[in-house]
Amino acid sequence: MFTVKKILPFFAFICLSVVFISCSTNKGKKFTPVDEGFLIESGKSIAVLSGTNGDNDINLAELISERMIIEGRLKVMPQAEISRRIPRYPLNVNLIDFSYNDKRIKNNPSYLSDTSKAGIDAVQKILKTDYILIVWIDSLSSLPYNDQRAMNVASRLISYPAAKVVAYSFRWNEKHSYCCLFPVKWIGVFENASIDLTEEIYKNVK
Amino acid sequence: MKKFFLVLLSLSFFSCYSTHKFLNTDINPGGRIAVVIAETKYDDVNTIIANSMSELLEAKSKLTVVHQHKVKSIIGTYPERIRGPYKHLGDEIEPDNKRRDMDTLAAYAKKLNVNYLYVFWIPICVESKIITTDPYGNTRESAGFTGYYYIGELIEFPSRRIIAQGEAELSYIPNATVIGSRKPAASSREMAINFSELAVDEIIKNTGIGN
Repeated sequence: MFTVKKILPFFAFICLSVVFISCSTNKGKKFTPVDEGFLIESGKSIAVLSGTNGDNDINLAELISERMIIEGRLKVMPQAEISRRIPRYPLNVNLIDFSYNDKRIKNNPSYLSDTSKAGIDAVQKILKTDYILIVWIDSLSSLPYNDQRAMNVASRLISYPAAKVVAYSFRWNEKHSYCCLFPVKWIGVFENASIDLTEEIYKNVK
Repeated sequence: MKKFFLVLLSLSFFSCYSTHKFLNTDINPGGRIAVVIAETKYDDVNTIIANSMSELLEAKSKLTVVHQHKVKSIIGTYPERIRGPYKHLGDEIEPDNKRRDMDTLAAYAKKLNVNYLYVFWIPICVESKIITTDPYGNTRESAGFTGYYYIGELIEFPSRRIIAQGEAELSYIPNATVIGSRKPAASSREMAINFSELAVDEIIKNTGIGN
């Protein structure tokens, strides 16, 4: 009994340590309004779009959309409704056609290519929402030595009818673990990224 | 869950590794078949596999084959993404039969007027570079291992009966030096053609539809 008493707290300590070691961090630019003082109007409608037709972008857009619906305060168009209204979306629609290596982003962090902007505006004409939030993953990395998973999530918020980019973000979401008993799963990275972005967006809702 | 990278690396000395599992073996030898690309990411490899499998099925089996140019002319949006029997998150692929968009595939079969579709998806590609350093410290980068994760299914219509399900790790290594007789494919073309031959031979062997 004495041994069990000693082992249990020790085991609990090890478990807690592992939980703290399996941590997530963010680098890059969090959700930032283009014009200082900009706030999203509460009660307005918004659609979350997947930047490309890749499974990872589609999954991320779905998670963010679901989380925003739970948060309330904005009228979020469900992904199923977007798919119903936009033919071939999301599996066969690519809206983002540039990468973060593009030099134009260095001078203008809220950059959207003309073709991407035209595609998003065309989608908004059908959806008729007050805002479009477009999200995409610029790159993914997986390092097996410390079981690290990371992804670079980018977003643009466009306000209508002005059709103007009003906010943007570009952030690394990463998670790693040093214990093989608690391996990092991609779903955890995706969920963290969706929580982080949603929280940042809601800080900018009036 | 697929630890795709590790599997690919462990199989890097094989040009391809096919694992078609046959759930049914009775095929109507008088039937019509089309090969369908259902994931659009790796256009060059997809096209070689689709053309090569169509030609091999025509040459080696009793089935009537609808060729790729005909598929394209009948389905104007072809090739396009069709949801496959798997879930893709990050760099991981997990089998999930419920996700397959059977309705779209059935619509394809109807439009193409075929009894069978061989549908395939290549959702992931992994590339590695070889970095060599000479005695003077100069480094040189060259193409190394390239691997693709492949999923393929032979489905009967209108019954929607799955005849075969296949998974494979396809890979090629340019200029590989290998001791022994089993040399990996040196190009994506060689890899795709080798795999097509293997897949068609497997289908013919297990269903008895050979000429």
